[in-house]
Amino acid sequence: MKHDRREFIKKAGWTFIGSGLYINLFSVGTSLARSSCSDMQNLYAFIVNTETCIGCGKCVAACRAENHVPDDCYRTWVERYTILADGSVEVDSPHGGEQGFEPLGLKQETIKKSFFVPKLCNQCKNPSCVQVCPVGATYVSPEGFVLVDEKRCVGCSYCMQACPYSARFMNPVTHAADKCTWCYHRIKQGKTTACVEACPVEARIFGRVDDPDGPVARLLASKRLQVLKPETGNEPMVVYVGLDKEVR
Amino acid sequence: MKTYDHIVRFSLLVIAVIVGFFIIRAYMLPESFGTHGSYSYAYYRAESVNEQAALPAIHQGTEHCSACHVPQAALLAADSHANVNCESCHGSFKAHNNNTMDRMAIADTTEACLVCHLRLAARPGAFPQIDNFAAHLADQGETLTPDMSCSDCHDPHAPM
Repeated sequence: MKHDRREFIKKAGWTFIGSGLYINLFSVGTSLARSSCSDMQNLYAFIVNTETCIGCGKCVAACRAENHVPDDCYRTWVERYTILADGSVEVDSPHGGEQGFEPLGLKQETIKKSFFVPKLCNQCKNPSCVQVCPVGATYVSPEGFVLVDEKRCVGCSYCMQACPYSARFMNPVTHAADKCTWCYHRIKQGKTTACVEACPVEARIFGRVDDPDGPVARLLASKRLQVLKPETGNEPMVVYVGLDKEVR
Repeated sequence: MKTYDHIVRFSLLVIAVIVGFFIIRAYMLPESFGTHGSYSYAYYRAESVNEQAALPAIHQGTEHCSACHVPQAALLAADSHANVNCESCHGSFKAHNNNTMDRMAIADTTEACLVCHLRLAARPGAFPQIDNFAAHLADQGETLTPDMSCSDCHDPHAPM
């Protein structure tokens, strides 16, 4: 076999053309370009005010009716945090808080403080549940909503394990992964979410981030806010007012 | 040429498998499936978005009820329950909405009131709460009889 310059340049040329074809055929180039500057936007945010929540569970009931959530499954739920005088933390959420809460039966002086924390899908900017789906059944909509395509879901539950907030469950009726959609259908119809509508104390506030006169933008600009588990890098779009360090 | 026969046969087999894969893939994938922005987050069936957007809204809200139930809406709006949604006590709107004129449930029992107004350490202190029904009645100079309920004194639409 000859090893001369002419032969080398020829081979290099073919390699260049071949790799160019490969990149074009399988659109590797375009996909890389897209993933760094995608056309998805996070237009909405959800603010939960733990300082006003009374733990009535009306949000959970409204969500169940709105989204046909089966019994013993929850798209949203309310947790009660009780921090005792000795520093230990008790968390309970009977029936997701749907039927309200009973007193814990503790003496007043043993309780340091106590509060309710409503939880729901955090609709992350970088949703780990979407990244792990092997069949493209969960995705981020153009408006930034993380949704589940129940017809495509094969029920492997990888997404349930990937979610740091345990927001997902396996729907026993559809046999697909299910979770809060921020009432995507209602938002598209110009309404607000069912839980926001049901809340009697404005502990849940939902709206566009880019509307400067809207309640969300005002709260984002004026309140001290925190998100759950910021260390995951998921960048949740549910933000909390009055979130204590004990809350996980 | 004979020396290359096995390579040619193998190559044809590989090409057949690759072509077969793409043909089967084309049949198996739903029409609108693909990337819609990014492979990481937007690799999905586009029709699914429209399907979800088309779901009917069930929860209707106080404003909707107020169109017919004018006196109740006026009472509600003027009092401390103004932010309490009709469906929180009357149940989901759907059956009523479909022009069946089914009567809505009415949760005006003491238990229903205490879901919000039972004293809990976790509730904000400023929110009106009672320890129990008998104690509250005693505070008001009344005694508990078995058939009493909150709505004897408080109109649920205008409790104060």
